[in-house]
Amino acid sequence: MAGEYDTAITVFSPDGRLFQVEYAQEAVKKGSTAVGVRGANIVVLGVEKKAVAVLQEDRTVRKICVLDDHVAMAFAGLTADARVLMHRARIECQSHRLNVEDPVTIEYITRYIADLQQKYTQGRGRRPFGLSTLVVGFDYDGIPRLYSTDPSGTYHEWKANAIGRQAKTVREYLEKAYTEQIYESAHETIKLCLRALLEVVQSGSKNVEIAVMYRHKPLKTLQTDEVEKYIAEIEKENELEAERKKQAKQQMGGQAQPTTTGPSTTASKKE
Amino acid sequence: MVESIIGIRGKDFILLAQDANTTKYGILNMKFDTNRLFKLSEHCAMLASGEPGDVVQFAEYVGKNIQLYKMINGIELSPYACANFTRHEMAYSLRSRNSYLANLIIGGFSTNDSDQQKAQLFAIDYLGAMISANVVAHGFCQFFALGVGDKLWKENMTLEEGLHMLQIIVNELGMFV
Repeated sequence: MAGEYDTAITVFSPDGRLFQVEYAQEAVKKGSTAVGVRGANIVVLGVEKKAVAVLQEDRTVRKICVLDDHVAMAFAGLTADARVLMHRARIECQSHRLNVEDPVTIEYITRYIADLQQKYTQGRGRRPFGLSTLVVGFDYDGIPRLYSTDPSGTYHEWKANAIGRQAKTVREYLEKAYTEQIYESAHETIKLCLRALLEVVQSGSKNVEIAVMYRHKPLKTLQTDEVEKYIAEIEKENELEAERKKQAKQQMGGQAQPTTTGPSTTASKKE
Repeated sequence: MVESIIGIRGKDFILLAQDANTTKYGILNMKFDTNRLFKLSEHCAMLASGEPGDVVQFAEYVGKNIQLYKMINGIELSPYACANFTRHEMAYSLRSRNSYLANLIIGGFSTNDSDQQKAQLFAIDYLGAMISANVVAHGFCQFFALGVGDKLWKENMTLEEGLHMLQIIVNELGMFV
């Protein structure tokens, strides 16, 4: 019948790659950074707030969104694609509740989103979704979860992850900085998320948006003054760390010191 | 269609009462702890009576769709909006393959600042007709509740007065509360 798109857009290359999926992943790398960190009793999402045009209303740029009372999602990549995916996920959350009388597990809804993304990599003249997501929340047994999906439709569980612009830098930082102590403390988990984001975002509460979810509580976006308090605490810790290192250097009698491995003392201001 | 459900509108509240029995063949009482109250949102609830299967199916379907609206749009629907959505679903399904034999009462407290009347009460029957009134009822007690309501309902009722009216209606039914 005329109108049926039989020409697939995503086809294998001779060396076994799906170029459209890889190009979609490039689109993700252009999106503003999103960070997710999982604690023992808290999950935190942080996103870079890109500067908006002067006449634009700031509050209409929503990168962190709720899918259900106990699930939230942040994304990096094409905003329009995210809107569509979010809508489908929200419907699925309620549909699941209607059919089995239980809220979705985070793994279930992540798998649903990932399945959707995968479907669009296989035939029928459609291009893949150009976004990666970070899905966080608590299962009904109370265990916190953080998952991440990408345009190819794969998903993995993480303790902490970053997607979007300079995600690799942020992830490397998280690998170095994530400890058991941070995991146990909600306060430290929020600070870690903020620190990771400040690695690649200009320091300032108006450039980041942090949202936290505690067990059995809805998602809460931190107010500007709360974020500023955390940033002030981080900056003070950085100063103390710099002081300590300077003193240690002086004690060593001015010998050449190796570069520090702790949190960077100045947030790298990459554009 | 014997099981009764009653709704009474007060000054700043809605009183919803339901018969908790499920009867069959006019004589057999199968269950005395049936739940006919379904939460639609934080400030709105629905009573549904009629065919047991249809009642649960329709009520849960409406409830989840109202939750979905809240997730997508970030705001809770007022009782007026919930009732109109429900009425639409009922009327649509009436002339389709699957109709629902369920009579409903929807009541709640609107959180919209622009609503002048905050306590809102509606009744929808299984044919999709909706009315808004101060006293509504479905089932056997309809014959008594509406008459008693006509006589005793007044503007700005308190909870005690509402419960008193409910007691009179229930006494007429010969039931024990």
